[in-house]
Amino acid sequence: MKTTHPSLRRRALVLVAALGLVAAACGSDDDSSSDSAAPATDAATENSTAADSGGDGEAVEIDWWHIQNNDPGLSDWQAMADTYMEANPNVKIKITVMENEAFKAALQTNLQSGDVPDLFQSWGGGGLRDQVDAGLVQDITDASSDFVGDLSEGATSLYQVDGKQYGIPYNASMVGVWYNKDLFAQAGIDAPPETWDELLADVQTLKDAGITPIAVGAGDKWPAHFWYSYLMIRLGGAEAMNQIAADNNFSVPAVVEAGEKVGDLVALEPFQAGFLGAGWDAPDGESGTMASGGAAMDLMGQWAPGAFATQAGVDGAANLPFELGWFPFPTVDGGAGQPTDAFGGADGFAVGKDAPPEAVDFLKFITNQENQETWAADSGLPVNPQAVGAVTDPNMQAVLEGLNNASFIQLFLDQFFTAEVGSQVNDQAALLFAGQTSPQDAADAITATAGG
Amino acid sequence: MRAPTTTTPAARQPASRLGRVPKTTVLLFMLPALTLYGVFVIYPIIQSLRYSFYDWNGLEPLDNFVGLDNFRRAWSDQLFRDALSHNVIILVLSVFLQVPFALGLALLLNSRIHGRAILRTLFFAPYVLSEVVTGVVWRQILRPDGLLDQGLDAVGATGLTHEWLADPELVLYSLFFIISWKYFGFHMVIILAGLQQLPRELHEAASIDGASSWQSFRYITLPLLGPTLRVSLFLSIIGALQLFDLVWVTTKGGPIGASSTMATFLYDQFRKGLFGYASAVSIVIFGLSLVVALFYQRVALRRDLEGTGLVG
Repeated sequence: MKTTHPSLRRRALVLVAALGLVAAACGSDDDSSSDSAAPATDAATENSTAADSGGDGEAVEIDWWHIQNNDPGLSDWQAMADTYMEANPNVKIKITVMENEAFKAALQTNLQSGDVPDLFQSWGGGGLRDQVDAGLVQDITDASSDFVGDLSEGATSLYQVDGKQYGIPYNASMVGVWYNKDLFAQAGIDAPPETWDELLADVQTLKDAGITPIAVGAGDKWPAHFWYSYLMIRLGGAEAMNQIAADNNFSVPAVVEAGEKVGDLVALEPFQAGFLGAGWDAPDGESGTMASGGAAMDLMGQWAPGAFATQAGVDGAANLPFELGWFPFPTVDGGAGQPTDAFGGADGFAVGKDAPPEAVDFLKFITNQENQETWAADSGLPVNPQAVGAVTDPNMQAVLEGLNNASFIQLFLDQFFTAEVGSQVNDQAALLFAGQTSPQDAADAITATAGG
Repeated sequence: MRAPTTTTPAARQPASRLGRVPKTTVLLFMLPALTLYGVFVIYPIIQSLRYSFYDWNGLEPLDNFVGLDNFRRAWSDQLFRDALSHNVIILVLSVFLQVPFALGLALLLNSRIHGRAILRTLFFAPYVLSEVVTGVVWRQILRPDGLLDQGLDAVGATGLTHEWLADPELVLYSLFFIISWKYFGFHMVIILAGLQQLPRELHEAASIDGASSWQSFRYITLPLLGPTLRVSLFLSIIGALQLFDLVWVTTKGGPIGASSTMATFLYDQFRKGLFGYASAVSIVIFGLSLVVALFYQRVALRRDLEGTGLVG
C-alpha cells in the first residue's frame, strides 16, 4: 500500500486535487522571470505595426513551442529558426521543445493563466475551437492570405474555425494499413485486401498460417478508434460524417454498423496477445509487435514506419528486417463512403493572441517549398504541394497519393470533437474491442456525451 | 513515521507549557509555515471546491455555475463507481492479506533465525524502489510471454500462463500483488519495531507458566502489538483510497478501466478538460478519505492517541 506519513498523504491528495491551480501558479512564476522583456516587446510590436510592418529596426521576440523532441525534426527546426533570425536580425525566436504529453499539460497551464505562446503545436479541430472560443488565439486570415493558398486546402481548412484562419499546418497525416509483406507472402496472400470482406478472409488465412494478423494497442484506446472511425467513414461517407458533426448525434446507422463490423473483426481473434493492455509505442505494444515481426498488419498513420524502426533499433524503415507495405483502408460493400475518403489530420501551429505579425511571417517561412522539402525528406509529409518531390520512400509516396486524391478528409475523431467527446469515442472503441459493449450502446454513449 | 512512539506511555509529553509564551510570539514563529500551508494547501482546496460548482473546461471564463450537478454526475457515473469499488477491493485485500502477511514475516524475522538481517534488508528493498521503477519492471515481468509466462512455460505449467495485465478479470489482482510486493516490507518493518519494544519478561514469565507459543502470541504479543498494528492498518487503508502512481505507471487504469482507481479516474477527467467535474471528483475523494481517516482515528486509534491532542 501507499505508505507515508498520513497527513503528508492527505496533503498530497489535496495537491492532486488542486493540480491545475498549483501548476498554474508555478507556470506564471516561471514566465514572469523569463518574460521580463515582454511588455517592451509588445510595445515595440505595436509601434512597428503602426509605422511599417516590414521594419527591421524594432526587436521582436517569438515564443515558439513545438514537440519535435527527437532528431532530425529537432535540429531541422532549430536550423530554420536560425536561418530566419539571420535574415531578420530584429526577430528573436525563443524555442521551447517538449515531449507530446508534457506539452499538452504545460500548454493547458499556460492557456489558463492567459500566458499564451506566440506559436504552439496544434492539431486543429475541436481543441482549436475551444481556444478560439476562449479568445486565446489570433485570427490570421488576412495576415496569412498571401501564402495560405500555396498549401494543401484539406490541411489548412483544419485550422479554420467559422471560416477564419487561426493556425497554419506543417505536416499532413493519413491513416492506412501498414503490413509486413514477408508475412503476407508466407501465408500465401499475394495482394493486399481491397474490401472489408477480403480483409476478414486474409485475417483468417494469416491465422491458419500461424501468424498474428493484426497488432493493436487498445490499452491506449486511440489506436482502436482508428478501426471504429474508418469503418464509420466507409459506411457513412462524407455526408454521414458531416451530419454527425452537425447534430452531435452518433446514434446513426453508420456508427452502429461500424460497431458491428468491429465486432466481426474481434470475433476472429486477430490481435496479438494482451492487446487490451498494450499501448501504441512500447516494446510490448503495437509498434514493438510489428517491429519484431509479431503481427502482419497495423492500422496507423504515416508516423508508423519511423516508430517501427526505432523499436527495431534500425536506422529508418528501409532497414527493417522485413519488407513494409501500405494499403488504404478497405472499402465496405454497400457503404456510402468513397475508397478515396481519407482519415487523418494535420499538425500545425496555432498563433497566440499576443503574437507579433512576424510570427505569421515565420509560419510562411517554415512552410515554403525549401523548408517543406527538408521536412518531407526527414520527418513527415509536406502540406506544401510544391515539396512533394522530396518524398522518396515508396510507401510514403503511396500515403501522399492517398491524401492528394482524397475526396474527403475526416480529421481524427478524438481531435475533431472536444476532448471530452473524443475521449468517449476512444473509450467506446476500446470497449468494443474488449467485447464489453454493444454497437448500439457504444453509439448511444457517445451521443450522450456529445449532447446530441 | 510516528508509529512506534505511541506504543510506550512513558514517552508521552507532559501537559503543554505553551501557556507561558506570549501568543504573539507563537503566532510570529508560525507565520512562515502558516503562509506556506495557506497558499499550497488551504487555498487550493478552496479553489477546487469553487471549481466543483461550475461546468468549466479550464479555458473559458468561470461563469457557468451548475450547483451540485457535478456531484450528482459523479454519484451516477458508473465509471466512478467502478473505480471506487476497485479502491474498496484493494483496501479489503490489503487489510486481510497484506498486513497479516507482514505480521507473519515480522514474527519470523523477530526470532533468532540465521541470516535474518539479510532477509530483513531483502524484504524491505522493494519499498525503497520508486513507484515508477516498480511499475515498469513488473510490466515487463507480467507482459504476454514475459518473464513470468516464460518461467511457467519452462517448468511445463503452460496452462497457468495468463494475460496478467491485459485481462480485465485479472488485472486488479495482478496489481494488488505488485502493490503488496512493494509495501509488505514497509509494514513488516513497522511491526518489527513494535515487536522489539515488547518487554521480554512477559514472554519469559508466560513460558515459565507453561504457555504454548500460540498462547504466548495470542495473549501477549498480539494485544501489546495492537497500537502498532492499528497504525499499520491505518496507513494501508489511506494508501488504498489514494492509490495512483503505481497503477498509472503499470496499467493507466486499464484495460477498459478494469484497474481504475478514484485517483486515476480523477486524472482522466483532467485530461479530458473537464476541470469542473474533475474538481468535484477530487472533493469527493478528499471527503471520503477524510471521513475514513477521522473515523478510524476516533474509533480504532482512540486509545493510542490519547494525550497527543489528535483525538478530541
